[in-house]
Amino acid sequence: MEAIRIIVNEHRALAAVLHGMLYLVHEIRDHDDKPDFNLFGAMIYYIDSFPERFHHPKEDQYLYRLLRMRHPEAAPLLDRLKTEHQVGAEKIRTLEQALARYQQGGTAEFSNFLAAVESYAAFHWEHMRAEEQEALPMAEKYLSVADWEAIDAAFLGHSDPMLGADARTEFDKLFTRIVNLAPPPIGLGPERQRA
Amino acid sequence: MESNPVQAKRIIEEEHRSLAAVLYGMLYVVREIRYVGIEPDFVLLGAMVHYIDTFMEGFHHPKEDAYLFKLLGSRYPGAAPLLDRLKQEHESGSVKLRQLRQALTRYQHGGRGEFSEFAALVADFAAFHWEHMRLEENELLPLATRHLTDADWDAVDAAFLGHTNPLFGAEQGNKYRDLFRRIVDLAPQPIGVATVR
Repeated sequence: MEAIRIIVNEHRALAAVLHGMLYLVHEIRDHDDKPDFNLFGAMIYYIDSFPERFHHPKEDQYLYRLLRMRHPEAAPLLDRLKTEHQVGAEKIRTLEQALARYQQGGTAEFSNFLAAVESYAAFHWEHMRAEEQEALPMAEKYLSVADWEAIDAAFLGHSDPMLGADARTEFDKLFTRIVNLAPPPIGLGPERQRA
Repeated sequence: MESNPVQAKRIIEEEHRSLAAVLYGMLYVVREIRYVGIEPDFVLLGAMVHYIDTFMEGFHHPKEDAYLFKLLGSRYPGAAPLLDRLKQEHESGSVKLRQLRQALTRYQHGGRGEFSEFAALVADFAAFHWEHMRLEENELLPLATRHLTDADWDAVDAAFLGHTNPLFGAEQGNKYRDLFRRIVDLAPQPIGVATVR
């Protein structure tokens, strides 16, 4: 069940970036911090590409597909999670648009961006919670040893190189870049500048 | 005020020309990146997408939808299929714009590997809007000329001249002109006036 450890780790990485974004927008709102658009852009690129290209395909094509076969009662939950993967992709585009409007249009567009960040973070936390507290326990209960071998192979990147170690390294580099750009206490970058 | 039926049509055609200039500029920049190997200027590309976003979504389409399309629909029911198609295209245009924005973010932060997707979306977006504007100019405007009354044109013109809703007025128009000016200042020759790199 290596896959479970990997899923939970990937959720932590996503949660860290979501938390970082929320922290930064709240600092802008409460302390007039100057926005770092390069950092916001890198963060949104991460929460766009990492789930859509790396994290969700593994869940959809391996874990959820097998769980649906072994335990048909999981269908409503799995339908919901799959729909949320699609809704999430649309929400990311809304968030990207809100960021670009803020960057180009100035402070008048900030409240809309703030709302989009808060909405996306709340949506994604609830999604990860349902996966960790509902889908994963079901998977532990109903999947066979052979199922887990197939799922683990996929999550370790042995089935599809796009989901393997090279892709993982690219996303790790991106995460490191975000950490290096982000100011304390969320990252190692330079201190924030007050506007 | 003396009104003139030509006003709204002239304004629509002018706004189409501004949009076409930016679409052409984006295609040009993409070609330069692909064939000449110039480095992408994300400030310029961002300003271009932002112009299309705010000008089209916040200024150009709402005027068409709320005044011209609405009046033509009530005067000439035979225009319904065309109007449905144009309205539908305004909506799918918003979706395409968000996809273009996403592709630009991915290109800016993900590097060269994301370029071909961005280039394909720019080409698709430009082709989509050229066809849409062509349809409006060649089919919608002639129908409107034939079926709207003088009083209708007064109402449409008032809206297009910004007398009905200040959001569509001259002050907003100036704001978009400033955005357009910024693109021209940022863009390299021959599409803009910036120094060739």
